[in-house]
Amino acid sequence: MGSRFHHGPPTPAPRRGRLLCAASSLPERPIATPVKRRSSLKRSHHHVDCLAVIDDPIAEFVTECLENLDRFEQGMLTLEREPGARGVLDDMFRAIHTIKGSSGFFDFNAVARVSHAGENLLSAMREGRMIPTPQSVSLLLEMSDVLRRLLNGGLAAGREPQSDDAGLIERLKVALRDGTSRGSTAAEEGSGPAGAPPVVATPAPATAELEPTVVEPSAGDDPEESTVAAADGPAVEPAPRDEPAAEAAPAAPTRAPEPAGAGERRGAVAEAGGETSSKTPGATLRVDVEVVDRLMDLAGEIVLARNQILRLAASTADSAYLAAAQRLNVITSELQERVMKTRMQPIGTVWSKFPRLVRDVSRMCGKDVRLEFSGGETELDKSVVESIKDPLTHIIRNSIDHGIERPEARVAAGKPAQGVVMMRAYAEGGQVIIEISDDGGGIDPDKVLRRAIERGLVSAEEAPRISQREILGMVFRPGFSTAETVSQVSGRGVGMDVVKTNLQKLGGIVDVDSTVGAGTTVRLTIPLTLAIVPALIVTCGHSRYAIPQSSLVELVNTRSGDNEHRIERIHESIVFRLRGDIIPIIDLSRELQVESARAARGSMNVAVLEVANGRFGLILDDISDTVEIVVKPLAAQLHSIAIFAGATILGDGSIALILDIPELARRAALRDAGDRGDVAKPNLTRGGEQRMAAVVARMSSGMQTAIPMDQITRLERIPRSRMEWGDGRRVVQYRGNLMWCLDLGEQLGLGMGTDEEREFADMIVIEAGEQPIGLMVEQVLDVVDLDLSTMTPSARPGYLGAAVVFGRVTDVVNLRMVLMSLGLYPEVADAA
Amino acid sequence: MLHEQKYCTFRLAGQLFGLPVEGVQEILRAQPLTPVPLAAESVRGLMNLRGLIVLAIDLRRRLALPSRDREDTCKNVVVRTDRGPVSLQVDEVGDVITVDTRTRDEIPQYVSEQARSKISGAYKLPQELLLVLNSEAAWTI
Repeated sequence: MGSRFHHGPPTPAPRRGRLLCAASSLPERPIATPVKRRSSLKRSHHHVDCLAVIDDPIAEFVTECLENLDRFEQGMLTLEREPGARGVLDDMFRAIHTIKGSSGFFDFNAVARVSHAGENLLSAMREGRMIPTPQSVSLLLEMSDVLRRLLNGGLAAGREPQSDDAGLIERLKVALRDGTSRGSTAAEEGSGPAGAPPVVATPAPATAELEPTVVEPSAGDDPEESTVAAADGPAVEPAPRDEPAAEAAPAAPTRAPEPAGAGERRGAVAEAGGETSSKTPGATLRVDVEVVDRLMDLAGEIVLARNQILRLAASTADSAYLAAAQRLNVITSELQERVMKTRMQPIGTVWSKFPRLVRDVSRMCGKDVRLEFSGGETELDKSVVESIKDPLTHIIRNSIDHGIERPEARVAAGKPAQGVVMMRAYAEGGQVIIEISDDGGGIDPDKVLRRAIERGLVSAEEAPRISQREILGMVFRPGFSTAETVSQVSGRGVGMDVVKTNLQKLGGIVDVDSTVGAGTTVRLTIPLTLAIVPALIVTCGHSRYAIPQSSLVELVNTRSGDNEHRIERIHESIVFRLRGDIIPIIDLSRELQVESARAARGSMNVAVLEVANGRFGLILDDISDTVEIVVKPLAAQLHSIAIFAGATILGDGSIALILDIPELARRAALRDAGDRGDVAKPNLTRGGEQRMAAVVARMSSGMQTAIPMDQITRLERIPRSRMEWGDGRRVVQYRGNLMWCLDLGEQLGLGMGTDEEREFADMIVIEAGEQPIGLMVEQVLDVVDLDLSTMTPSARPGYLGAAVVFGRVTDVVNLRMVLMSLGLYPEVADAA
Repeated sequence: MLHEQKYCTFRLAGQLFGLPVEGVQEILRAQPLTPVPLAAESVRGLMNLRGLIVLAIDLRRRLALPSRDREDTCKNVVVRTDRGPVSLQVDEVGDVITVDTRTRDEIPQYVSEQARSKISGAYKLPQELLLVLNSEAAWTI
């Protein structure tokens, strides 16, 4: 891999910074993971290296920092063009914050100092305390160049080069204090290489003289040696201050218009690394992720082409053609599998970096922390693994810095002196869940709320209405931090905000759960986002749609008269009865607002789908077969249609939209609740209404009762093992609430309504205000449409009347009265 | 040369429109489309452009012009955008016309308010008026 780099420019080992222009003359090629430190290359022949994983922490740190600097500079230049550009400052701030945060661990103290000073300036701009001026922008760009130089020097030497940064830091401070930088000075500095910054007393020769010394010496030398000489040799070192002045100004305008600049610079670094790697050829190859992505796309295309060929071959008599098609089939399948494998990585490859991080951060914070793992073998798509690395780093850093207490405090609280950070990964239904828990002090919701009010994130009036969950969610807001002091590690309130932003980009979710005194758990739910997934192709209206197989539980064809699974109508909403369970169901054609092509009533295709919080049914017009599809993103113009997760090209060349199952589930749940909301008005007292939907249930006494549907939230079957005693009553944890479990029979004075021996209890869930109440019955029999004209009104408290259902006399319960007798008022208590 | 600009021209409800040729990737006959339920009215559907899924936008609807009598004769002007190609459906495609950018006119008064934001200028050709489409406004929904 390295040898081809020799075809580059004649200078074998130019210094990175200077290579900017030379790099553009390189033949265009995608370069693999850009940075590799020499020392690690020397030993690369006796270590096994994973694809595109940089094993050297310093090289990795430098690469990341340089990427962040690229981002920072892009932002800076955008800001110069459009001073009001929103979000740019936040992004720049995060970039510098990340550099500051990680530089501490690698003893890059000058980097930490300089970026800290720059961060303060950016912080002021971000909060609007200071307006970016051309002078302050120049100063920040200068800072960026100094950081770049320090990082590149460090990369070559394996540690941070000596430098004198006091002058720059001082100027950054002055700029912050004045609100504007020392205008003319900064401008002059930026204007050309000759402008020696007056503030700093540097003993170095002028930059113009320095430049040739940097490039020349390497010509005849061992490239390795020359890299060292160039990077941390005496020629460069004495003039740390001059260099930025030389680079900043000319570099800025040329880089600004084309983002390709970053790529060129990457190429440059890879070249420097490639030089040396040619000497120690490894058994593995580093490949640019883009190349793998493209291979993945192509593998997808070839799968589709193969499918087409197979279809054509099926109708041919030419045996040679058939044989060739079969061969193509086999090869394609293997190719696809292999390409997919190249993208899968165990999450452990990211975790391997964390013990060091934990050690360093905990030392810095004066804490004793142990890191534990489980599920490191859980595999994720490469791109996903890469993108969760930063969020995980932030979370761990936060856990140690803010979560885990100091040893003294822990002992005082009765905990072991050593804190534990636990990382757990597991796959669940097409998603991977990563939990990072600590046994620290937890997040105090009161403190968070106070801080939120101080910061103006919420008003004092809103505060009492905010749920605990929402309060904890506030730690993800930009600019939020509960840390009392701003430290080198964290406390600027960018960390968690970065975590959330990164996760959202992946289509993932992050949430946090915390108990004061016991610890905090941050949970990341990440989609597997594999490019090729097996999917069920279904028809609705005149189009075909794809349902990812991972969420499919079963396919059911219902016929009228089928008692095991039936679709029942309750007012406008329908429920699906599946072997005794009642699950919400929605009609795809209704959700898509297309005309259904279903022929006749009575027979329906239902796909039972499962998501994290339950199952639901989806009524489809027709079901085709299961195929492997290549997931392609939808045009950005269609992103607002949440019901589609992407699109794919089918074997015949037509396009199918991929349904977003979690979104459909959400709609199913909403529709369920929404429809009930529509009919919540009590219709018994109105003369016009003659019918009423009611749930018919049997009590253990054998009595049959009917409960009006309009007051019921849900029907549930809950294992008795989940019921607990709390607050003097029987409760069950239900959808994030504690649901009271009451025996309906007992409430109605019919004796115990349920049999305690049974494994499950059927519950009719109602809501009194926010409080869910589960009314236990022996068995939910059915949902019926009661003809009110046949009902005999009753004067007994708790009853509306009696009607005949299934040939039996059935008491119709007045739930409102039951609740009132308990001192509880349902939502619609006014009519009583 | 300096002030010359080439426009790819096409017709919508009888009017002549143009897009700078540099932005046009290719012209296609009517293609089979997969409709996108719930999408904006001007979204005609998705088409398979050599393995790429491309959004097709009905320019008539986008410019608030009366809808076409026949869909099967329409043409697709595939434009390059920073988010990949997008197909704009037009009635028929005309020649590539070279104009002198110094002769650019204001947008005529009769252009409806809805269309105005998607038109960046006009040229008086000997026979008729060429309306220059602001391609970005046309495909950003």
